[in-house]
Amino acid sequence: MQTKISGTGLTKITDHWSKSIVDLAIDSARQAISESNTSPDMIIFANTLSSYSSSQENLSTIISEELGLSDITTFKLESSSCSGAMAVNIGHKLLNSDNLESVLIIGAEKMTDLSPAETIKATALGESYEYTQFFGITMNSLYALFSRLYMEKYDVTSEELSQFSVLSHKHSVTCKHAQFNREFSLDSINKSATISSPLRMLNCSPIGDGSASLVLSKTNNSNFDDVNILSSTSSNSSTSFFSREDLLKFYSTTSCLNKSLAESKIKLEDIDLLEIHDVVPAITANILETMGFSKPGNASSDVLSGRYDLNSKVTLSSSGGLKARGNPLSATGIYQIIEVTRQLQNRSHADLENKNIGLCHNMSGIDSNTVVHVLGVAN
Amino acid sequence: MSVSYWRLRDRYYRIIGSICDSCNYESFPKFNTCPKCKSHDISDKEMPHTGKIISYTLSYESMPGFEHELPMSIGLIKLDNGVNIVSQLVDSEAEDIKINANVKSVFRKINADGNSGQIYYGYKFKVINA
Amino acid sequence: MIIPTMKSSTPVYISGYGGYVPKLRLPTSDIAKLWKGSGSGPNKTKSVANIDEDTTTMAVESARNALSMSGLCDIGAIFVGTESKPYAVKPTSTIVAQALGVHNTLAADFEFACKAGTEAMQVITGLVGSGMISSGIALGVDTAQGRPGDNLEYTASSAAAAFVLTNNSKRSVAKIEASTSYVTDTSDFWRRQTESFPRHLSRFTGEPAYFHHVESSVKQLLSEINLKPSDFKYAVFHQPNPKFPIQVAKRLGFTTEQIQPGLLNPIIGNPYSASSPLGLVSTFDVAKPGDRILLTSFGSGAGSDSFSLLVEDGILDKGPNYTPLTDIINNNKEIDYATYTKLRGILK
Repeated sequence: MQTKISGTGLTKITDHWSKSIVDLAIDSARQAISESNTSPDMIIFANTLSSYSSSQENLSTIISEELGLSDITTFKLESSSCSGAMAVNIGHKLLNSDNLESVLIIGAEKMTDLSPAETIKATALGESYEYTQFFGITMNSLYALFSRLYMEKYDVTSEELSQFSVLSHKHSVTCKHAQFNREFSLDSINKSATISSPLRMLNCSPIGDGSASLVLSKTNNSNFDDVNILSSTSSNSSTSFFSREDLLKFYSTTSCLNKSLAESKIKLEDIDLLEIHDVVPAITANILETMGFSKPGNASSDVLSGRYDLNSKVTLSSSGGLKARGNPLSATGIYQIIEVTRQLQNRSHADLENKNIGLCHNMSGIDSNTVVHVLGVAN
Repeated sequence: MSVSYWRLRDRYYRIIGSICDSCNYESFPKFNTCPKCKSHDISDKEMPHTGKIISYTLSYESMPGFEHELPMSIGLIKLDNGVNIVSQLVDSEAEDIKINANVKSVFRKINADGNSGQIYYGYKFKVINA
Repeated sequence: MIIPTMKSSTPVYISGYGGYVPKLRLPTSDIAKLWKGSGSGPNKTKSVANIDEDTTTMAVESARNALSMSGLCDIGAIFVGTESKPYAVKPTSTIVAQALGVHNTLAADFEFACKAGTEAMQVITGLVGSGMISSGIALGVDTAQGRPGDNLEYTASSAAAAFVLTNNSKRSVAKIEASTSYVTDTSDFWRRQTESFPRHLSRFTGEPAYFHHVESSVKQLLSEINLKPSDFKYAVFHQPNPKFPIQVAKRLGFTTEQIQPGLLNPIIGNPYSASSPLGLVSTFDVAKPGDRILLTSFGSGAGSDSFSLLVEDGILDKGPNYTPLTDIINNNKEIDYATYTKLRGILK
C-alpha cells in the first residue's frame, strides 16, 4: 500500500470563542487542500462530541458543502479520542482499495461551548455511561486511579512523574499552534491545584478547540518532500482498564506496535520522533515502557536524564503533546501526524536534525482502542 | 435517564453482574460475551458486597448534578471474588482510605433529575475498620 | 368506647432487627451559637444524614441488617413508617423491596408523625397473626426536618430501625405479647402538603399531646394484660427530647434504670418515626431471654402505641454479620453548621 501525506492544515488550539465547529473544520481543511494541490475524492470527518457540544450531526455533509465540494463520498467517523488517527487509518485503507486518488481527513472538536461541568462530562463520554458517568466518575479520576496503580507498582512519585509535564511545556514554547507557549517549573507543576489526586492541574491535558486536516493521496503534488505512511495499525481492548487481567498492561498498544514494526519493516531503534497519547504522566510513562523505549518504571527518570529531549535520538512530543500542544480529542491524532510530517519535511517550529522516521500513537480511553502510524521520508 | 435506570436498578441496588455458564468467569458490569472463553451463555450473578481498595483518588471536579458532592472520593475496589469495580467511597476518613483497606457496599443516593425529577439510587462503598 | 388491647390469634415474633444511624453528628452548641450566641440544645448532638442519604437509603441499610439476622426470605409485607418520604407520590417501600430482592409482597408507606414505625409493626402483627402472610418487615425511618432557627432544629435528626415480624418461632428474638393504640384529634405539630418544614405549638406538645397519649396507651395496655411496671425489665418511650421520656416513665411508675438502655436522644436527637423503634434496637442489644420490654411510641396529631414484648432465646444468636447499635453510634464524626446546611439541602 502506498499513501503519501500531500497536504496538512491546522488551527491553533485555544478558546475559539468566535468560531463554530464548522468554521474550525473549514479553516484547517482549506489549508490542507491548498497544500495538496488536489481536490479530494472523499472526506472523512473525525469528531466525537458534536451531538453533545454543538447539537449537530451530519457534519460531514455540512462541511463538504461549506468547502464547495459535492458529488463525493463523505461521512463522519467516531471512536472517542482516537477518532482522528482512526480516520487516517480508514482513509489509508480506502485510498488503496477503492480506486481513489486522494482522501481529505478532517478532525475537529469544539469543546468551549460547554459549561465547565459539561466539559468534564464530555471528556468522559467514551467511558461507560451506565457505570461511570452515572456515578459522577470523571475521566481525570480514572486517569488518577490508573496513576496510583502505576506509582504503587514502580515506587515512583507523582512529583517525579511531573517531569513529563515539564518536558511537554518546554517543547511547546516555540510551537505557534500549541495551546501553551510557556514553560512551567517542576515545582510550580507540583504545587498547582489538585484535580483528582494525585493528578494536579498542570499534569492534565487541557480543554481547547482545534481542528487539523490531512490530505492522503497516491501521488504528492505538494511543494514539500514526500512523507509516506509506512504502516497504519489499530487494535482494541476492553473499554474499562480496570476489567483487565493485568491493570497496567496496555494490550492494544502492544499489539499495534508489533503489527506496526512488522508492516513498516523497521526496528524500534529506527524511530526518531515520537507522538504518543501523553494525556497524563503515568499513562505517558506506561506507553513508553510498553513500547520498550524505557524500562518498566524508568520512564520518568529517563525524561530527567534527557532521553526524550528535542535534540536527543528519539524526540518525544516535539510540539508539546496532549499536555502542552493541547488535546481537542478527535483532532489530536491528526495534529500528531502533522507534527511528524512537518518535522520530516524540515518545516516545523523546531528545526531537528537527522529525523527520518516517526511514530504516532493515538488512543481512546486508557488503551481501549489504539491506532499507531509509522511515517517516513521517501528514500 | 429514567427508563435506563429502571432497566439497571437491580445492578445498581444489589451489584448484579454476570457469570459465564461455560467457564464460571465473573464480572461486573454484566457482559454479553464471556471475555475469557467467548461463550454466549451468561447468567446474572450478585457480586460480593465486600472487598479491598486497590487504588483511590479524591476528585475536585464534577459533572453536572454532582457539584455539591465535591470533593468526591473514588476507589478502585477488588471485590472478594476478584472482580474490580470503580465506586464512590463515602463515610470514610482520608487516613483510612488506603491500599488494601477493607470496604463494604452501602445503598446511597447517586443523583437526581433536579428537584422535580426522579431520584437515582445505587451502590457506593465505605471503609470498614477492622 | 375503649379500643381493646390487640393480641394476635396466633403468636407473632420478632426474629430480626436492625438499626441505622448516619455517621455525622451536629453539636447543638453549634446551632445555638448561630441563633443565640451561646448555649446548646437539650441534647448534646444530633445525627445528620449525609448528602447522599435519605429515608430510602437508611431504610435499606436497616432492613438489610434485620433481614440478615432473621435469615428469612418469605417476606409478605414491607411497610415504611416515615414523615420524610423522598417522593410525595411514589412509595419508598417499593425501592426498599427492590433493593432487598423481594417482590411478592405488600408494600406501603405509613405516615403518622413520629409513630408511623410502630403502626407498621401493629399492622404486620395483624397480617402475620391472621395467617395472611408468614413474615413482614416494619420500618421506622426519618430524616427529620426542623426549620432553621426553630427549636426543633436542635433535635430533628436522622435514623432508621427495622424489624422482621414472623410466625416462625425458630429464631425469635422476642414474642409480641400484646399492643394498644390510643388516638385523639390533637394538633400539636403538623406539616402541610408542599411545605418543607413542620410547624408546632411549642409547650402545647407536652401535656395535651405527648403525656396524655403516652400515659393513656400505657395504662390501657398494663390494665388489660394485668402487668405492672415492675414486671418489665426495660421500657422504651418516644424521645422528642431527653426530658419527656424520663418524666413520663416516672409518672407511670418506671425507673430511670428501666429506660436507660433505650435512651438515645442525648446523642442522636429525635429521628421522629425511628425514635422509639431505635430505642428498642438499643434495648434488644443488652436484653436477655425472659426480659420483658415495654415499647411506647408517640405521634403528633396525635396518638400513642404501646407493646409488651417478651425476649426469647434468639437474642443470644444475632448472626455473624450483626453490628451492635452502640458500635454504629460510636463510629461518628462531628460536623459544623455550614456543612449541615450543605448536606441537608438548606444551602440553595
